[in-house]
Amino acid sequence: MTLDSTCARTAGVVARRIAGETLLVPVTRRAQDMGLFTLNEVGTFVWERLDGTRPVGALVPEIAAAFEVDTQRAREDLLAFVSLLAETGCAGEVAP
Amino acid sequence: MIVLPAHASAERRWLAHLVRASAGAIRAGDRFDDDLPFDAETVLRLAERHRVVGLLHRGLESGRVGDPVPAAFRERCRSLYWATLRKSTVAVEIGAAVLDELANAGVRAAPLKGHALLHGPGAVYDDPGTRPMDDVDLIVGRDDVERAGRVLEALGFAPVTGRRAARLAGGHELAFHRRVAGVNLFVELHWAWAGAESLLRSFALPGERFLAELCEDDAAGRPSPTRLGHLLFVAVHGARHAFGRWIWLLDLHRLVEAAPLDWEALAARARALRVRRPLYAGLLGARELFRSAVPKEVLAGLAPGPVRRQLLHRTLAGADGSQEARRRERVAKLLLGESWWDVARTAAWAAAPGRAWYEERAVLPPSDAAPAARSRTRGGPSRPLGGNR
Repeated sequence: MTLDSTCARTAGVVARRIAGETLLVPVTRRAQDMGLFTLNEVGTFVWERLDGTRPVGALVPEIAAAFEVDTQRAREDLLAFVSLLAETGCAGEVAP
Repeated sequence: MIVLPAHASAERRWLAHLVRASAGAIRAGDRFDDDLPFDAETVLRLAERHRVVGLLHRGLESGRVGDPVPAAFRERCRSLYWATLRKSTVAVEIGAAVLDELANAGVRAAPLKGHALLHGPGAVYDDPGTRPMDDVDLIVGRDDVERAGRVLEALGFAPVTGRRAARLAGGHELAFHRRVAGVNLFVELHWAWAGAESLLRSFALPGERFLAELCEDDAAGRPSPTRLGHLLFVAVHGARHAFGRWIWLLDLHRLVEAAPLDWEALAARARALRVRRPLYAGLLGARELFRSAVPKEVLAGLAPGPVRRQLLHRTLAGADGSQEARRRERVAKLLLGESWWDVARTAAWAAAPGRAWYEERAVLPPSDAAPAARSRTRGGPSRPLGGNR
């Protein structure tokens, strides 16, 4: 996974907003061993935008502006987060 | 008092207090003796039986419950909450996919209970972790059952076989099973809201009528219960189990509190469908446990006469779904008939043809069976494949 990759949410993972937190709940066979994930505000922001229409890196300036962090930090955190989503099967690389 | 009768144990009182606090239903003037000694393990077991552990977890996490509870109690609530959250979310998602496929196949099917209360236009829970679901309940017309079953099988569900299936087959529901994402998921197809084979036979309502009178269609023409439909169904379902789980009272509470309710219309519909007594018992329990805003005059209009009301309160008091309470619960179900005439007719049916019906399906032992054998099976069928509550 790189910032040039295009990434999309996996269909078998459902996001639920509960008590101010976003939870990712796998509901397919493929995801059955993934457990549950709790996303913070930034994670939720990214998750909602992983629609497979543009490279992941396109989110860097949006994150930097929305959460007032420098672009280098936004880039590193974003890459780590989408890599984790990909590893756990919550999201995957798609053809642009 | 049907939820907390005079003889209620300290653990039951504690659980009611914790549940009430978790639901934000403590009112000024409520008194509770928090020096009352209790066994935390027993409270937890009761909470599991009443299916309110998820609610307790939310109450503890949010600070609504101010009482100190043992760390192990808190941890167990947390663990069960997350398991429930996952299972209910899976059930809702798969249930929605099943409903899509049924609609594509031209089957009119409406979700009931857990699924409908967690998802869609009638949702009154925002957290699947607080509303456990053992299965996805759907109601269809009798003529659509076979076709709906074929749709479920095409989706990988298998008909539930064995003793339970034998009991259900001649009744008013069929169960299907599929293991999804590590979760044992059951879908139950109901073609009536109470079975003609049950002690609630005096108010059996066919699925076709439920869909026509107590549901409304969305823009795509797919039915789901109206709030009155939900209230009546949950009350009837609770009656079917003598309100042995508080989660059904929580359902009723949430439905009552969701928005202003046309009480006159609800009472009129309950009267027309001959289900005033189940609605009375359910609303009385919700009012007692959660302080639901049910007007006294509405309850008075739904209640049976004073003699039956006293008997009903006595038999429902402390119902908890336990084996010991089953016999008393059966009497309570009889008493929930609309009139004494209904009660008498159902009792007569239960004594002969009803007993034969259950004996044929091995739910009850033959009437000439030895007492020892009878006592082993008195509580009803085993449920090796999961519950239908």
